[in-house]
Amino acid sequence: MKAAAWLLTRFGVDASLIGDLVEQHRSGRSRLWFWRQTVVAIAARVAATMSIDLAVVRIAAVVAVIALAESYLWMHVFSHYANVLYMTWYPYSIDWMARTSPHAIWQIVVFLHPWAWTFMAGWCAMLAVIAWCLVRLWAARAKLILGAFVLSTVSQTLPILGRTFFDWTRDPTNPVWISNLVLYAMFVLVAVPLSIRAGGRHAAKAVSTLRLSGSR
Amino acid sequence: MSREALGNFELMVLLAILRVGDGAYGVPIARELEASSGKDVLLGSVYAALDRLEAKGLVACRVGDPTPERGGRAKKYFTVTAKGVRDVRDTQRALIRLWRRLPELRGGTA
Repeated sequence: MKAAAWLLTRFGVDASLIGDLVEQHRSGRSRLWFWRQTVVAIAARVAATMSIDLAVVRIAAVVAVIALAESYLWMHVFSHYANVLYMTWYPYSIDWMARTSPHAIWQIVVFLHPWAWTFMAGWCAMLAVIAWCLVRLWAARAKLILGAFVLSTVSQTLPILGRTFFDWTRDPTNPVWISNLVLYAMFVLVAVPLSIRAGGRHAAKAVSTLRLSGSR
Repeated sequence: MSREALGNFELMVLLAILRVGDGAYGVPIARELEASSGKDVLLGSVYAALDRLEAKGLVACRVGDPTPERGGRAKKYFTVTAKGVRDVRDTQRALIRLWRRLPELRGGTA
C-alpha cells in the first residue's frame, strides 16, 4: 500500500484522509478497497484543483478581453480628446522652445518626443480607472486581475518593440531606435504597470475601508 | 437558510457529524453514513463534501495528534458550526413543508 500512499501524497491529497485510509486498511480493509478509495480521493483532488484553475482562467480571459477593448477604444475614440488637449499646449511650447532653448536642450527635447506624452498620460489615466473598476468588482482577486491586466496591456505593445528592433538592424547609427526604446521603457514598462497598480491599490483600499466600516 | 442550498450528500455529512458528536473524524463519519444509507461510502467524497462545508462556514475542524496506526498522520476532527446547525434546521423545515404537500408519499407507501 506504500505505492498508493505515495500517489496520494504526490497528488496533494489531505494528510488526514490518507491517515484515515491507512487506519482503515490496518483494521482489516482489503487492498482492493484501499486502491478504490485512492483512485476516488485523487480524482476528487484533481477535480477540486481544476475548478480553481478554471475560475482563474475565466477571470484572466475577461481581463484580457477588457484590455484589448480598452486599447481599441483608446486608439479610435478617446485619443481624439487627447489630441484636443495636446493641441492646447504642444504647438506653442515647442515653438517657444525652438526659438529660445540652447541647441543641447533642444536635442534632448526632440529625443524624448514630448508630443507623445499627452497621449501616454491619457492612456495611463484610462488604465488606472479601468483597473480601479475591475478591482472594485472582484476585490478578492485583485492580484490576479492586476497581473493579467498588466500582462495583456504590455503584450499588445510588443509590435512596437519589434519595430524598434527592426530600426536597429537596419541602421544602428541612427539614434531613432534608442529614442523609441527609451520611450517604450518609460511608458510601457514603467508608467503603464504603475498606473494599473495605482488604480488597483486605490480600489483595494476603498474596499477594505468599506468592509471595516460595515463590520463595526 | 443561506442562499446556497445544501446538497443531499452535504446534508447527510452534517447530520452524521452531529450524530457522532465529539471525535467526529473521517472514519466514524463515513461509518455513520454507511450505517444510515446502507451503501459503501468513499472517504474521498466525504472529504470533498467536508471541504465544501468548511468553505461555506458550516463546519469547523481541528487537527489532532499524529498516531502510529495512521502512519504518523494526524486526525482532523470536525464539528458543525452554529450556522451549520441553523442551515440543517432550515433544510429540515423546508423538506417537511414540501412533504406535507405530497399526500401520496405520506407514510412511505408510495
